[in-house]
Amino acid sequence: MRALLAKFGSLDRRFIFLVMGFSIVIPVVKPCEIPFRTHEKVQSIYDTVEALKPGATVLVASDFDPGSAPELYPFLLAIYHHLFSREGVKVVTSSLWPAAPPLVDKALAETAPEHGKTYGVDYVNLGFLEGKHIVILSMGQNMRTTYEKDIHGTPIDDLRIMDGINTLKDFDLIISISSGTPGTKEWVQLVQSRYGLDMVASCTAVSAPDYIPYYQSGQLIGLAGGMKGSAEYEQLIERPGTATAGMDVLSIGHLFIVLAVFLGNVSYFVTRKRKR
Amino acid sequence: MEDELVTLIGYWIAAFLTICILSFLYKDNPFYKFAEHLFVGVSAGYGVVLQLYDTIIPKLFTPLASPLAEADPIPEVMVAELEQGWGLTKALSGAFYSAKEIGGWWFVYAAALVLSLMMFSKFSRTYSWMARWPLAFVVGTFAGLQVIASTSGDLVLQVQANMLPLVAESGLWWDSVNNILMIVGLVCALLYFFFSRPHTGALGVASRIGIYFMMVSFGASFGYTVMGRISLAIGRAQELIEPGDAHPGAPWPAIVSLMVVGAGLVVLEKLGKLKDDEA
Repeated sequence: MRALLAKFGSLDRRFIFLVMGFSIVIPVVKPCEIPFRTHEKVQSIYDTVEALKPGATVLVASDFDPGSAPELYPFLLAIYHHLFSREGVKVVTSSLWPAAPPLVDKALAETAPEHGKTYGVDYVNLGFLEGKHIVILSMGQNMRTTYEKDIHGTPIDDLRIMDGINTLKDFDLIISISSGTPGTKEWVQLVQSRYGLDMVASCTAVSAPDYIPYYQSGQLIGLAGGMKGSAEYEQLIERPGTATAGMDVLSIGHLFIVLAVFLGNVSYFVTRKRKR
Repeated sequence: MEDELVTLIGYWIAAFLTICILSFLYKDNPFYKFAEHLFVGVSAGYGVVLQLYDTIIPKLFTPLASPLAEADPIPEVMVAELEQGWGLTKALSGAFYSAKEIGGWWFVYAAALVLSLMMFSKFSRTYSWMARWPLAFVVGTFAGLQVIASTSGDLVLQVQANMLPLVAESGLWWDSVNNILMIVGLVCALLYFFFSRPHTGALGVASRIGIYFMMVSFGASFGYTVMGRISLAIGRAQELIEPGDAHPGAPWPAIVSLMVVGAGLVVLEKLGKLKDDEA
């Protein structure tokens, strides 16, 4: 037994890759629907959106790219479904990442028609603007000089949804969906702390530990981290999607990682004892 | 019909390239190198075209192309902001007013073009010093922005949020325990980074407790990172295996790609073309 455990420490890592691959592929082919609970951080996002009054305008800052789409695109779909289901709520989307607008367009095409929403009246995609932090600051001072046109080239002044929206302070809620820089951190530092606006965020799992202090301090009302956060939000709005489908794969994958770390440590201590 | 064909071809290419990238898990090989170089090239090309048509042309070339007399005036809100400046900002505001008098923002855009061109002097050994000026401008601007942003967002508000009562106002015992843990962990972690005295005695004990708290937080970060990486793999697996409108014919493109790449790797291995990974 000891010899076997010691051998595990020097196992070719490609066997671990292979087993990891099977632990991902098999649950995708044969789902086992392992249940999961919703955390209060995600519940807070849901409650904040539920509390929006008719006529409220929400800014969805989509700052991610296809590389993080498995984690964040399900949340984008879910948040659009939720916002569009709220009576009279208007949705403005902006992007600081160049690859985000096509994902936004795709999500809007999947969600807006189902709720009978009209482009330019109920929702708009302002598109990507280069400048990172400067764009955020500029939006805080004047939206109309920052975004002169939407993604289709329509002047901002011609869009009914933008009536009364001159600065970021005119938004009732900011939802940051981000996978890096510029993203949630910049929105919190440059906008939330400056103007005291209501803000929630969805981020990749890698970034979540960096943003939990913002949730703990109240700078973020809610925070959805990674695929699990997206799955929890899908569960709250009762629209299971790809994130929910990925949850049991995530659980099994994590169990394998835990087992590998445990066996690796046991092998290490067994090998160390032998050397002594 | 045309859209469906484009989707089908695109999906087969995506499946093949995904398998090529994943083949790196076996060994570095030409399939992986091909996919990697293709990705880098396409990303660079996409980025250049996007920057050119969305930023450089509309934000720089178009304003510069306007005749001096017809240059856009400074937007009113920016005039108001400039008038509210103090000290150095007022002096700079005066310079901007002058620019407005003789032709609006044209000279500002021209200065931006000159600074941008100076960046390319980095390619010359003799004139590379010229690139320091635009770099200094960029670094100075962002440093100024970050001082305010970090101080207010990351320091002041965070310190304020961590001034917690040891006995929670809710009256619940676990909230009080939570507050005590927060304060103890925060203070001990901060004490760990106090290097002006050796970590002995009470300071040694406190810094060791701080280390344990930080190790727990690193473990949590590691767990989140693992979740993030597995999520990306799940996303690819779902796209390769589950059929749908965007994934026509799944999982056959993945299976065929796996067979092609697998056969290729076997042949390359037999020919001795694949180098062993360094341990």
